Amino acid sequence: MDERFDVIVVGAGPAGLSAAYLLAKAGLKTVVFERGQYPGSKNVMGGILYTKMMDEVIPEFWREAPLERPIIEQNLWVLNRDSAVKVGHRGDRFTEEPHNAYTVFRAEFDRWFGTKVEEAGALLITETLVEDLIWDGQRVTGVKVGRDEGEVFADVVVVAAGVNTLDSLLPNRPQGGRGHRPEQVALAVKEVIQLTEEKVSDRFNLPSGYGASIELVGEATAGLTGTAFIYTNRDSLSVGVGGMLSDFVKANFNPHELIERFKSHPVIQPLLEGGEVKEYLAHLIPEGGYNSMPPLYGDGYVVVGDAGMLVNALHREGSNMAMTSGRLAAETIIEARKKGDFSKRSLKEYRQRLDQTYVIKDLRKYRNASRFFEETPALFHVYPEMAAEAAAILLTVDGVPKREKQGQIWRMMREKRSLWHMLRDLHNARRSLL
Amino acid sequence: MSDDEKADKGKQGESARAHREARKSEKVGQLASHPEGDGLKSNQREKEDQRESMNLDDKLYLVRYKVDDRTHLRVVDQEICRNSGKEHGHVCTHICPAGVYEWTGEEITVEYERCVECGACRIACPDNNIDWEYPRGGFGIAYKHG
Repeated sequence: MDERFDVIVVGAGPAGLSAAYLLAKAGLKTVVFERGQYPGSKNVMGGILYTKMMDEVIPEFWREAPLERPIIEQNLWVLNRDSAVKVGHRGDRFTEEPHNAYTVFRAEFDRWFGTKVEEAGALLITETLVEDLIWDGQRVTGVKVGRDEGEVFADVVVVAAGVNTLDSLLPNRPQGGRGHRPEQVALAVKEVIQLTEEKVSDRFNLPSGYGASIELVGEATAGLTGTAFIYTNRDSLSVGVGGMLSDFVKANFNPHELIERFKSHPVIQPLLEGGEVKEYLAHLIPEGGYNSMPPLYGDGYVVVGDAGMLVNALHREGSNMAMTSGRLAAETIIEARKKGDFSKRSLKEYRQRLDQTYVIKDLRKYRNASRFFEETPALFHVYPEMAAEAAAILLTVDGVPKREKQGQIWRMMREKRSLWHMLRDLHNARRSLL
Repeated sequence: MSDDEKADKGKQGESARAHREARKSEKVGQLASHPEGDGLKSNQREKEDQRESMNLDDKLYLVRYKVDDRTHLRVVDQEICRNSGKEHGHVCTHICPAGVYEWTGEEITVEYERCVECGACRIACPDNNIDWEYPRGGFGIAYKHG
Protein backbone atom coordinates (compact mmCIF):
# COMPACT_ATOMS: atom_id res chain seq x y z
CA MET A 1 0.00 0.00 0.00
CA ASP A 2 1.19 3.46 -0.90
CA GLU A 3 1.33 4.98 2.53
CA ARG A 4 0.90 8.66 1.87
CA PHE A 5 -2.52 10.20 1.21
CA ASP A 6 -4.01 13.66 1.13
CA VAL A 7 -6.79 12.61 3.46
CA ILE A 8 -7.53 9.62 5.69
CA VAL A 9 -11.16 9.04 6.60
CA VAL A 10 -11.79 6.83 9.62
CA GLY A 11 -15.15 5.08 9.29
CA ALA A 12 -17.49 4.38 6.39
CA GLY A 13 -20.75 5.73 7.76
CA PRO A 14 -22.76 8.60 6.32
CA ALA A 15 -20.36 11.24 7.66
CA GLY A 16 -17.14 9.58 6.51
CA LEU A 17 -18.51 8.51 3.14
CA SER A 18 -19.92 11.98 2.44
CA ALA A 19 -16.55 13.54 3.16
CA ALA A 20 -14.64 10.92 1.18
CA TYR A 21 -16.93 11.17 -1.85
CA LEU A 22 -16.49 14.93 -2.19
CA LEU A 23 -12.76 14.82 -1.46
CA ALA A 24 -12.17 12.15 -4.08
CA LYS A 25 -14.37 14.01 -6.58
CA ALA A 26 -12.20 17.08 -6.07
CA GLY A 27 -9.16 15.00 -6.94
CA LEU A 28 -7.69 14.53 -3.49
CA LYS A 29 -6.01 11.25 -2.80
CA THR A 30 -8.35 9.79 -0.23
CA VAL A 31 -8.45 6.56 1.73
CA VAL A 32 -11.35 5.32 3.86
CA PHE A 33 -10.79 2.74 6.59
CA GLU A 34 -13.75 0.68 7.71
CA ARG A 35 -13.52 -1.98 10.39
CA GLY A 36 -16.53 -3.94 9.11
CA GLN A 37 -16.63 -6.42 6.25
CA TYR A 38 -18.35 -3.78 4.11
CA PRO A 39 -19.62 -0.25 4.67
CA GLY A 40 -22.84 -0.51 6.65
CA SER A 41 -22.10 -3.85 8.28
CA LYS A 42 -21.73 -2.14 11.66
CA ASN A 43 -24.10 0.73 11.05
CA VAL A 44 -27.52 1.07 12.60
CA MET A 45 -30.17 3.73 12.57
CA GLY A 46 -33.93 3.80 13.02
CA GLY A 47 -34.22 3.92 9.32
CA ILE A 48 -35.11 7.37 8.00
CA LEU A 49 -32.83 9.15 5.58
CA TYR A 50 -33.42 12.80 4.71
CA THR A 51 -33.10 13.54 1.02
CA LYS A 52 -31.78 17.10 0.97
CA MET A 53 -28.55 16.49 2.85
CA MET A 54 -27.69 13.39 0.86
CA ASP A 55 -28.61 15.19 -2.36
CA GLU A 56 -26.06 17.86 -1.49
CA VAL A 57 -23.40 15.16 -1.55
CA ILE A 58 -24.59 13.07 -4.51
CA PRO A 59 -27.16 14.98 -6.56
CA GLU A 60 -30.18 12.85 -7.48
CA PHE A 61 -28.85 9.89 -5.55
CA TRP A 62 -32.45 8.76 -5.07
CA ARG A 63 -32.66 7.70 -8.69
CA GLU A 64 -30.28 4.82 -8.07
CA ALA A 65 -29.72 4.29 -4.35
CA PRO A 66 -31.34 1.36 -2.52
CA LEU A 67 -34.30 2.99 -0.77
CA GLU A 68 -37.37 1.47 0.81
CA ARG A 69 -40.34 3.87 0.87
CA PRO A 70 -40.67 7.67 0.64
CA ILE A 71 -42.28 8.97 3.82
CA ILE A 72 -45.59 10.75 3.22
CA GLU A 73 -47.03 10.45 6.69
CA GLN A 74 -45.53 11.08 10.12
CA ASN A 75 -47.19 10.27 13.40
CA LEU A 76 -46.71 10.71 17.10
CA TRP A 77 -48.51 8.26 19.34
CA VAL A 78 -48.72 8.69 23.08
CA LEU A 79 -49.23 5.32 24.70
CA ASN A 80 -50.46 4.32 28.08
CA ARG A 81 -51.08 0.77 29.26
CA ASP A 82 -53.84 -0.09 26.88
CA SER A 83 -54.49 2.86 24.60
CA ALA A 84 -52.95 5.48 22.37
CA VAL A 85 -53.53 9.14 21.64
CA LYS A 86 -52.49 9.80 18.06
CA VAL A 87 -51.48 12.88 16.15
CA GLY A 88 -49.98 12.97 12.71
CA HIS A 89 -49.62 14.55 9.33
CA ARG A 90 -50.24 13.10 5.90
CA GLY A 91 -49.18 15.29 3.02
CA ASP A 92 -49.81 14.84 -0.66
CA ARG A 93 -46.90 17.21 -1.28
CA PHE A 94 -44.59 14.51 0.06
CA THR A 95 -45.50 12.23 -2.84
CA GLU A 96 -43.63 14.52 -5.24
CA GLU A 97 -40.01 13.98 -6.17
CA PRO A 98 -37.57 14.62 -4.74
CA HIS A 99 -39.19 13.17 -1.65
CA ASN A 100 -38.52 14.66 1.75
CA ALA A 101 -37.33 11.44 3.38
CA TYR A 102 -37.03 7.72 2.77
CA THR A 103 -36.89 4.66 4.90
CA VAL A 104 -33.64 2.82 4.22
CA PHE A 105 -31.60 -0.12 5.40
CA ARG A 106 -28.27 1.27 6.38
CA ALA A 107 -26.33 -1.88 5.59
CA GLU A 108 -27.64 -1.69 2.02
CA PHE A 109 -27.48 2.05 1.63
CA ASP A 110 -23.98 2.51 3.01
CA ARG A 111 -22.72 -0.37 0.93
CA TRP A 112 -24.04 1.33 -2.17
CA PHE A 113 -22.63 4.67 -0.96
CA GLY A 114 -19.26 2.94 -0.57
CA THR A 115 -19.26 1.88 -4.22
CA LYS A 116 -19.97 5.48 -5.23
CA VAL A 117 -17.04 6.64 -3.11
CA GLU A 118 -14.80 4.13 -4.86
CA GLU A 119 -16.09 5.19 -8.27
CA ALA A 120 -15.26 8.78 -7.30
CA GLY A 121 -11.66 7.64 -6.91
CA ALA A 122 -11.19 7.02 -3.20
CA LEU A 123 -9.57 3.90 -1.86
CA LEU A 124 -11.90 1.99 0.46
CA ILE A 125 -10.17 -0.46 2.78
CA THR A 126 -12.52 -2.65 4.80
CA GLU A 127 -11.86 -5.08 7.65
CA THR A 128 -9.34 -2.63 9.02
CA LEU A 129 -9.53 -1.05 12.43
CA VAL A 130 -7.90 2.31 13.01
CA GLU A 131 -6.43 2.06 16.48
CA ASP A 132 -4.72 5.36 17.06
CA LEU A 133 -3.69 8.69 15.66
CA ILE A 134 -0.09 9.42 14.83
CA TRP A 135 1.13 12.68 16.27
CA ASP A 136 3.98 14.99 15.44
CA GLY A 137 3.96 17.29 18.43
CA GLN A 138 0.51 18.90 18.46
CA ARG A 139 -0.24 17.86 14.91
CA VAL A 140 -1.99 14.73 13.69
CA THR A 141 -0.06 13.27 10.79
CA GLY A 142 -1.68 9.90 10.23
CA VAL A 143 -3.22 6.80 11.76
CA LYS A 144 -2.13 3.45 13.10
CA VAL A 145 -4.17 0.60 11.70
CA GLY A 146 -4.60 -2.94 12.95
CA ARG A 147 -2.72 -4.49 10.08
CA ASP A 148 0.86 -5.44 9.47
CA GLU A 149 1.56 -2.38 7.33
CA GLY A 150 0.92 -0.40 10.47
CA GLU A 151 1.09 3.30 9.75
CA VAL A 152 -0.56 5.48 7.15
CA PHE A 153 0.09 9.19 6.74
CA ALA A 154 -1.93 12.11 5.39
CA ASP A 155 -2.32 15.88 5.56
CA VAL A 156 -5.64 15.55 7.34
CA VAL A 157 -7.48 12.83 9.23
CA VAL A 158 -11.29 12.91 9.18
CA VAL A 159 -12.52 11.16 12.34
CA ALA A 160 -15.88 9.59 11.42
CA ALA A 161 -15.86 6.53 13.63
CA GLY A 162 -19.29 6.96 15.15
CA VAL A 163 -20.67 7.02 18.65
CA ASN A 164 -18.07 4.61 20.00
CA THR A 165 -15.10 6.44 18.53
CA LEU A 166 -12.10 5.45 20.60
CA ASP A 167 -10.79 8.06 23.00
CA SER A 168 -7.46 7.85 21.26
CA LEU A 169 -9.09 9.22 18.09
CA LEU A 170 -10.78 12.16 19.80
CA PRO A 171 -8.09 14.52 21.03
CA ASN A 172 -8.87 16.99 23.80
CA ARG A 173 -12.33 15.73 24.54
CA PRO A 174 -13.48 17.07 27.88
CA GLN A 175 -14.27 13.79 29.64
CA GLY A 176 -11.76 10.96 29.52
CA GLY A 177 -12.02 7.33 30.48
CA ARG A 178 -14.77 5.43 28.76
CA GLY A 179 -16.06 7.76 26.16
CA HIS A 180 -19.44 9.13 27.14
CA ARG A 181 -21.38 9.27 30.35
CA PRO A 182 -24.63 7.28 30.59
CA GLU A 183 -26.61 10.56 30.54
CA GLN A 184 -25.11 11.45 27.18
CA VAL A 185 -26.16 8.46 25.12
CA ALA A 186 -29.37 6.67 24.30
CA LEU A 187 -29.43 2.92 23.88
CA ALA A 188 -31.73 1.72 21.12
CA VAL A 189 -32.71 -1.75 20.02
CA LYS A 190 -34.46 -2.50 16.80
CA GLU A 191 -35.95 -5.36 14.87
CA VAL A 192 -36.61 -5.72 11.19
CA ILE A 193 -39.93 -7.51 10.93
CA GLN A 194 -40.89 -9.03 7.62
CA LEU A 195 -44.46 -8.80 6.34
CA THR A 196 -45.55 -8.49 2.71
CA GLU A 197 -45.62 -5.35 0.62
CA GLU A 198 -49.43 -5.43 0.54
CA LYS A 199 -49.75 -5.93 4.27
CA VAL A 200 -47.48 -2.98 5.01
CA SER A 201 -49.50 -0.73 2.70
CA ASP A 202 -52.84 -1.98 4.02
CA ARG A 203 -52.06 -1.83 7.71
CA PHE A 204 -50.69 1.67 7.50
CA ASN A 205 -53.24 2.90 4.97
CA LEU A 206 -50.59 3.76 2.41
CA PRO A 207 -50.74 4.06 -1.36
CA SER A 208 -48.52 1.44 -2.94
CA GLY A 209 -44.85 2.34 -2.64
CA TYR A 210 -45.22 5.07 -0.03
CA GLY A 211 -44.33 4.98 3.63
CA ALA A 212 -45.16 6.24 7.09
CA SER A 213 -43.35 6.76 10.35
CA ILE A 214 -44.66 6.54 13.88
CA GLU A 215 -42.76 7.80 16.93
CA LEU A 216 -44.16 6.70 20.24
CA VAL A 217 -43.74 7.90 23.80
CA GLY A 218 -45.05 6.88 27.20
CA GLU A 219 -45.72 3.22 27.81
CA ALA A 220 -43.85 2.60 24.55
CA THR A 221 -40.64 2.92 26.57
CA ALA A 222 -42.23 1.82 29.84
CA GLY A 223 -41.73 5.39 30.97
CA LEU A 224 -38.02 5.62 30.25
CA THR A 225 -36.83 8.91 28.84
CA GLY A 226 -36.90 8.01 25.19
CA THR A 227 -39.08 7.00 22.27
CA ALA A 228 -40.12 3.98 20.31
CA PHE A 229 -40.64 3.90 16.56
CA ILE A 230 -42.24 1.99 13.73
CA TYR A 231 -41.12 2.74 10.18
CA THR A 232 -42.48 1.13 7.04
CA ASN A 233 -40.02 -0.47 4.66
CA ARG A 234 -41.03 -1.99 1.32
CA ASP A 235 -42.12 -5.36 2.69
CA SER A 236 -41.05 -5.06 6.33
CA LEU A 237 -41.18 -2.81 9.37
CA SER A 238 -38.34 -1.32 11.39
CA VAL A 239 -39.50 -1.45 14.98
CA GLY A 240 -37.40 -0.09 17.81
CA VAL A 241 -37.24 1.28 21.31
CA GLY A 242 -34.65 3.67 22.69
CA GLY A 243 -34.03 5.33 26.00
CA MET A 244 -31.30 7.19 27.81
CA LEU A 245 -28.68 4.72 28.98
CA SER A 246 -28.74 6.32 32.43
CA ASP A 247 -32.47 5.55 32.62
CA PHE A 248 -31.94 1.94 31.63
CA VAL A 249 -29.41 1.65 34.42
CA LYS A 250 -31.60 3.37 36.99
CA ALA A 251 -34.68 1.30 36.17
CA ASN A 252 -32.78 -1.96 35.84
CA PHE A 253 -34.31 -2.51 32.43
CA ASN A 254 -33.17 -4.96 29.84
CA PRO A 255 -33.45 -3.57 26.31
CA HIS A 256 -34.47 -6.87 24.75
CA GLU A 257 -37.30 -7.29 27.22
CA LEU A 258 -38.32 -3.70 26.63
CA ILE A 259 -38.78 -4.21 22.90
CA GLU A 260 -40.71 -7.44 23.49
CA ARG A 261 -42.95 -5.55 25.86
CA PHE A 262 -43.47 -2.79 23.32
CA LYS A 263 -44.33 -5.25 20.58
CA SER A 264 -46.97 -6.87 22.77
CA HIS A 265 -48.82 -3.62 23.50
CA PRO A 266 -52.46 -4.04 22.46
CA VAL A 267 -52.25 -1.08 20.06
CA ILE A 268 -48.97 -2.23 18.52
CA GLN A 269 -49.40 -5.96 18.34
CA PRO A 270 -51.98 -5.99 15.50
CA LEU A 271 -49.61 -3.95 13.32
CA LEU A 272 -46.91 -6.59 13.66
CA GLU A 273 -49.17 -9.63 13.64
CA GLY A 274 -47.80 -12.49 11.60
CA GLY A 275 -44.51 -10.71 10.95
CA GLU A 276 -41.24 -12.57 11.03
CA VAL A 277 -38.20 -11.08 12.74
CA LYS A 278 -35.35 -10.91 10.23
CA GLU A 279 -32.71 -9.07 12.22
CA TYR A 280 -32.10 -7.80 15.75
CA LEU A 281 -29.93 -4.74 16.22
CA ALA A 282 -28.66 -2.46 18.96
CA HIS A 283 -26.80 0.82 18.88
CA LEU A 284 -25.97 3.88 20.94
CA ILE A 285 -27.06 7.35 19.90
CA PRO A 286 -24.97 10.31 21.10
CA GLU A 287 -27.65 12.59 22.54
CA GLY A 288 -25.60 14.76 24.86
CA GLY A 289 -26.18 17.70 22.58
CA TYR A 290 -24.35 20.97 22.21
CA ASN A 291 -22.84 20.98 25.67
CA SER A 292 -21.23 17.56 25.18
CA MET A 293 -19.57 18.10 21.82
CA PRO A 294 -15.86 17.33 21.68
CA PRO A 295 -13.58 19.79 19.89
CA LEU A 296 -14.38 19.29 16.18
CA TYR A 297 -11.03 20.31 14.71
CA GLY A 298 -7.37 20.67 15.48
CA ASP A 299 -4.01 20.57 13.75
CA GLY A 300 -4.39 17.98 11.03
CA TYR A 301 -7.80 16.57 11.95
CA VAL A 302 -11.53 17.17 11.93
CA VAL A 303 -14.34 15.28 13.67
CA VAL A 304 -17.65 14.62 11.89
CA GLY A 305 -21.00 12.91 12.50
CA ASP A 306 -21.80 10.88 15.61
CA ALA A 307 -18.17 11.11 16.71
CA GLY A 308 -18.80 14.84 17.14
CA MET A 309 -22.15 14.32 18.97
CA LEU A 310 -23.96 15.86 16.02
CA VAL A 311 -27.42 14.50 16.76
CA ASN A 312 -30.70 16.30 17.30
CA ALA A 313 -32.58 13.69 19.29
CA LEU A 314 -35.73 15.73 19.59
CA HIS A 315 -36.24 15.81 15.83
CA ARG A 316 -34.87 12.37 15.05
CA GLU A 317 -32.04 13.91 13.03
CA GLY A 318 -28.56 12.44 13.00
CA SER A 319 -27.57 10.88 9.69
CA ASN A 320 -28.43 14.12 7.90
CA MET A 321 -26.18 16.03 10.29
CA ALA A 322 -23.51 13.44 9.66
CA MET A 323 -23.76 14.05 5.92
CA THR A 324 -23.74 17.82 6.26
CA SER A 325 -20.74 17.73 8.59
CA GLY A 326 -18.92 15.36 6.23
CA ARG A 327 -19.61 17.64 3.31
CA LEU A 328 -18.47 20.78 5.12
CA ALA A 329 -15.35 19.01 6.36
CA ALA A 330 -14.55 18.05 2.76
CA GLU A 331 -15.13 21.58 1.48
CA THR A 332 -12.88 22.96 4.21
CA ILE A 333 -10.12 20.47 3.46
CA ILE A 334 -10.30 21.23 -0.26
CA GLU A 335 -9.83 24.92 0.55
CA ALA A 336 -7.08 24.16 3.05
CA ARG A 337 -5.22 22.23 0.39
CA LYS A 338 -5.25 25.20 -1.95
CA LYS A 339 -3.64 27.22 0.83
CA GLY A 340 -1.35 24.34 1.77
CA ASP A 341 -2.34 24.95 5.37
CA PHE A 342 -3.82 22.15 7.49
CA SER A 343 -3.28 23.82 10.82
CA LYS A 344 -5.90 24.26 13.47
CA ARG A 345 -6.35 27.85 12.35
CA SER A 346 -7.10 26.78 8.82
CA LEU A 347 -9.40 23.87 9.72
CA LYS A 348 -11.35 26.12 12.06
CA GLU A 349 -13.19 27.05 8.89
CA TYR A 350 -15.03 23.70 9.19
CA ARG A 351 -16.54 24.66 12.51
CA GLN A 352 -17.36 28.14 11.24
CA ARG A 353 -19.19 26.70 8.27
CA LEU A 354 -21.00 24.24 10.49
CA ASP A 355 -22.03 27.09 12.79
CA GLN A 356 -23.85 28.71 9.89
CA THR A 357 -26.01 25.65 9.23
CA TYR A 358 -29.01 24.00 10.88
CA VAL A 359 -26.58 21.53 12.49
CA ILE A 360 -25.09 23.82 15.10
CA LYS A 361 -28.02 26.22 15.12
CA ASP A 362 -30.40 23.42 16.10
CA LEU A 363 -27.99 21.86 18.56
CA ARG A 364 -27.55 25.24 20.17
CA LYS A 365 -31.31 25.85 20.24
CA TYR A 366 -31.83 22.59 22.14
CA ARG A 367 -28.71 22.84 24.26
CA ASN A 368 -30.75 22.59 27.45
CA ALA A 369 -33.22 20.03 26.14
CA SER A 370 -31.41 16.94 27.35
CA ARG A 371 -31.17 18.38 30.85
CA PHE A 372 -34.84 19.26 30.75
CA PHE A 373 -35.79 15.69 29.78
CA GLU A 374 -33.46 14.30 32.39
CA GLU A 375 -34.98 16.48 35.08
CA THR A 376 -38.56 15.92 33.97
CA PRO A 377 -39.09 12.15 33.77
CA ALA A 378 -42.82 12.81 34.24
CA LEU A 379 -42.92 13.70 30.55
CA PHE A 380 -42.47 10.06 29.70
CA HIS A 381 -44.97 8.42 32.02
CA VAL A 382 -47.17 10.87 33.94
CA TYR A 383 -48.18 13.07 31.02
CA PRO A 384 -48.78 10.23 28.53
CA GLU A 385 -51.01 8.60 31.13
CA MET A 386 -52.83 11.89 31.56
CA ALA A 387 -53.38 12.35 27.84
CA ALA A 388 -54.76 8.85 27.35
CA GLU A 389 -56.95 9.12 30.42
CA ALA A 390 -58.33 12.51 29.38
CA ALA A 391 -59.16 11.22 25.90
CA ALA A 392 -60.87 8.17 27.37
CA ILE A 393 -63.02 10.30 29.70
CA LEU A 394 -63.96 12.70 26.93
CA LEU A 395 -64.74 10.03 24.37
CA THR A 396 -66.76 7.75 26.60
CA VAL A 397 -70.41 8.60 25.97
CA ASP A 398 -72.03 7.90 29.31
CA GLY A 399 -74.51 10.70 29.76
CA VAL A 400 -72.19 12.77 31.92
CA PRO A 401 -72.46 16.43 30.86
CA LYS A 402 -69.34 17.79 29.20
CA ARG A 403 -68.70 20.44 31.81
CA GLU A 404 -68.64 17.73 34.44
CA LYS A 405 -66.26 15.73 32.26
CA GLN A 406 -63.95 18.72 32.06
CA GLY A 407 -63.99 18.83 35.83
CA GLN A 408 -63.20 15.11 35.97
CA ILE A 409 -60.28 15.53 33.60
CA TRP A 410 -58.92 18.48 35.54
CA ARG A 411 -59.14 16.57 38.82
CA MET A 412 -57.51 13.51 37.26
CA MET A 413 -54.64 15.66 36.00
CA ARG A 414 -54.09 17.29 39.37
CA GLU A 415 -54.09 13.94 41.07
CA LYS A 416 -51.29 12.81 38.77
CA ARG A 417 -49.28 16.02 38.95
CA SER A 418 -49.70 19.06 41.16
CA LEU A 419 -50.62 22.33 39.54
CA TRP A 420 -47.32 23.77 40.69
CA HIS A 421 -45.39 20.98 38.99
CA MET A 422 -47.38 21.28 35.80
CA LEU A 423 -46.74 24.99 35.60
CA ARG A 424 -43.09 24.47 36.30
CA ASP A 425 -42.84 21.78 33.61
CA LEU A 426 -44.56 24.05 31.13
CA HIS A 427 -42.25 26.91 31.97
CA ASN A 428 -39.16 24.71 31.64
CA ALA A 429 -40.44 23.21 28.39
CA ARG A 430 -40.91 26.66 26.92
CA ARG A 431 -37.48 27.74 28.04
CA SER A 432 -35.57 24.74 26.79
CA LEU A 433 -37.55 23.74 23.69
CA LEU A 434 -38.97 26.89 22.11
CA MET B 1 -23.72 -17.26 1.30
CA SER B 2 -20.05 -18.22 1.01
CA ASP B 3 -18.58 -21.23 2.78
CA ASP B 4 -16.83 -18.92 5.19
CA GLU B 5 -20.05 -17.29 6.14
CA LYS B 6 -21.74 -20.62 6.55
CA ALA B 7 -18.99 -21.71 8.87
CA ASP B 8 -19.32 -18.50 10.86
CA LYS B 9 -23.02 -18.89 11.08
CA GLY B 10 -22.69 -22.48 12.14
CA LYS B 11 -20.24 -21.55 14.84
CA GLN B 12 -22.51 -18.85 16.11
CA GLY B 13 -25.50 -21.13 15.92
CA GLU B 14 -23.79 -23.72 18.03
CA SER B 15 -22.83 -21.23 20.66
CA ALA B 16 -26.34 -19.81 20.67
CA ARG B 17 -27.93 -23.24 20.93
CA ALA B 18 -25.59 -24.27 23.70
CA HIS B 19 -26.70 -21.39 25.84
CA ARG B 20 -30.30 -21.22 24.84
CA GLU B 21 -31.49 -23.95 27.13
CA ALA B 22 -29.46 -22.78 30.09
CA ARG B 23 -30.74 -19.25 29.83
CA LYS B 24 -34.31 -19.66 28.72
CA SER B 25 -35.79 -19.97 32.15
CA GLU B 26 -33.87 -17.30 33.98
CA LYS B 27 -33.69 -14.49 31.43
CA VAL B 28 -37.38 -14.05 30.76
CA GLY B 29 -39.53 -11.70 32.73
CA GLN B 30 -36.93 -9.81 34.72
CA LEU B 31 -38.33 -6.49 33.68
CA ALA B 32 -38.65 -4.30 36.72
CA SER B 33 -40.95 -1.34 36.99
CA HIS B 34 -39.62 2.14 36.55
CA PRO B 35 -38.92 3.65 39.98
CA GLU B 36 -41.16 6.58 39.19
CA GLY B 37 -43.61 4.81 36.95
CA ASP B 38 -45.87 2.95 39.30
CA GLY B 39 -48.27 0.52 37.78
CA LEU B 40 -46.75 0.66 34.34
CA LYS B 41 -46.18 -3.01 34.20
CA SER B 42 -49.28 -4.66 35.62
CA ASN B 43 -51.58 -5.52 32.69
CA GLN B 44 -48.75 -5.67 30.27
CA ARG B 45 -46.96 -8.32 32.21
CA GLU B 46 -49.91 -10.63 32.37
CA LYS B 47 -50.29 -10.40 28.64
CA GLU B 48 -46.62 -10.99 28.13
CA ASP B 49 -46.87 -14.20 30.02
CA GLN B 50 -49.71 -15.44 27.85
CA ARG B 51 -48.03 -14.47 24.63
CA GLU B 52 -45.10 -16.31 23.24
CA SER B 53 -42.40 -13.68 23.09
CA MET B 54 -39.34 -14.30 21.02
CA ASN B 55 -36.32 -15.55 22.88
CA LEU B 56 -33.11 -13.51 22.74
CA ASP B 57 -31.03 -16.46 21.60
CA ASP B 58 -33.36 -17.04 18.68
CA LYS B 59 -32.97 -13.41 17.72
CA LEU B 60 -29.20 -13.49 17.92
CA TYR B 61 -29.29 -16.56 15.73
CA LEU B 62 -30.66 -14.30 12.97
CA VAL B 63 -27.68 -12.00 13.18
CA ARG B 64 -24.61 -12.71 11.11
CA TYR B 65 -21.28 -12.78 12.94
CA LYS B 66 -17.74 -13.53 12.03
CA VAL B 67 -16.55 -14.74 15.38
CA ASP B 68 -12.96 -14.06 16.36
CA ASP B 69 -11.12 -16.63 18.42
CA ARG B 70 -10.14 -14.01 20.94
CA THR B 71 -12.27 -11.79 23.10
CA HIS B 72 -12.58 -8.03 22.71
CA LEU B 73 -14.38 -7.65 26.06
CA ARG B 74 -12.79 -8.19 29.45
CA VAL B 75 -13.83 -7.62 33.00
CA VAL B 76 -10.90 -5.71 34.45
CA ASP B 77 -11.23 -6.85 38.06
CA GLN B 78 -13.68 -9.57 39.15
CA GLU B 79 -13.12 -8.53 42.75
CA ILE B 80 -14.95 -5.28 41.99
CA CYS B 81 -17.90 -7.28 40.60
CA ARG B 82 -17.96 -9.32 43.80
CA ASN B 83 -18.05 -6.23 45.97
CA SER B 84 -19.58 -3.05 44.60
CA GLY B 85 -21.03 -4.95 41.65
CA LYS B 86 -23.37 -6.70 44.01
CA GLU B 87 -24.71 -3.41 45.30
CA HIS B 88 -25.81 -2.15 41.92
CA GLY B 89 -26.96 -5.54 40.74
CA HIS B 90 -24.31 -6.10 38.06
CA VAL B 91 -25.47 -3.51 35.57
CA CYS B 92 -23.80 -5.22 32.61
CA THR B 93 -25.95 -8.32 33.04
CA HIS B 94 -29.17 -6.42 32.39
CA ILE B 95 -28.01 -3.53 30.22
CA CYS B 96 -26.53 -5.66 27.45
CA PRO B 97 -29.03 -6.09 24.58
CA ALA B 98 -27.30 -9.33 23.60
CA GLY B 99 -26.93 -10.94 27.01
CA VAL B 100 -23.14 -11.10 26.85
CA TYR B 101 -22.64 -10.89 30.61
CA GLU B 102 -23.82 -13.25 33.27
CA TRP B 103 -23.28 -13.33 37.02
CA THR B 104 -22.59 -16.86 38.18
CA GLY B 105 -22.68 -15.98 41.85
CA GLU B 106 -18.92 -15.70 41.94
CA GLU B 107 -17.90 -13.94 38.81
CA ILE B 108 -19.08 -12.27 35.63
CA THR B 109 -18.80 -14.49 32.59
CA VAL B 110 -18.30 -12.80 29.23
CA GLU B 111 -19.68 -14.39 26.08
CA TYR B 112 -18.12 -11.96 23.63
CA GLU B 113 -19.38 -14.05 20.70
CA ARG B 114 -22.86 -12.65 21.25
CA CYS B 115 -21.75 -9.00 21.26
CA VAL B 116 -23.55 -6.65 18.85
CA GLU B 117 -20.96 -3.94 19.48
CA CYS B 118 -23.29 -1.25 20.79
CA GLY B 119 -20.88 -0.11 23.52
CA ALA B 120 -23.52 0.23 26.25
CA CYS B 121 -21.72 -1.95 28.81
CA ARG B 122 -18.55 0.09 28.74
CA ILE B 123 -20.39 3.32 29.49
CA ALA B 124 -22.98 1.85 31.85
CA CYS B 125 -20.66 -0.02 34.22
CA PRO B 126 -20.67 2.19 37.34
CA ASP B 127 -17.18 0.96 38.22
CA ASN B 128 -15.71 1.49 34.77
CA ASN B 129 -14.70 -2.14 35.07
CA ILE B 130 -15.09 -3.31 31.49
CA ASP B 131 -12.16 -3.23 29.12
CA TRP B 132 -14.02 -2.66 25.87
CA GLU B 133 -12.36 -2.87 22.51
CA TYR B 134 -13.62 -3.20 19.01
CA PRO B 135 -13.27 -6.68 17.58
CA ARG B 136 -10.34 -6.91 15.19
CA GLY B 137 -10.97 -5.55 11.71
CA GLY B 138 -13.43 -7.72 9.80
CA PHE B 139 -14.60 -9.65 12.85
CA GLY B 140 -17.76 -9.32 14.88
CA ILE B 141 -21.21 -8.42 13.74
CA ALA B 142 -22.13 -7.95 10.09
CA TYR B 143 -25.64 -6.58 9.71
CA LYS B 144 -27.57 -7.44 6.58
CA HIS B 145 -30.16 -4.69 6.99
CA GLY B 146 -28.78 -2.25 9.54
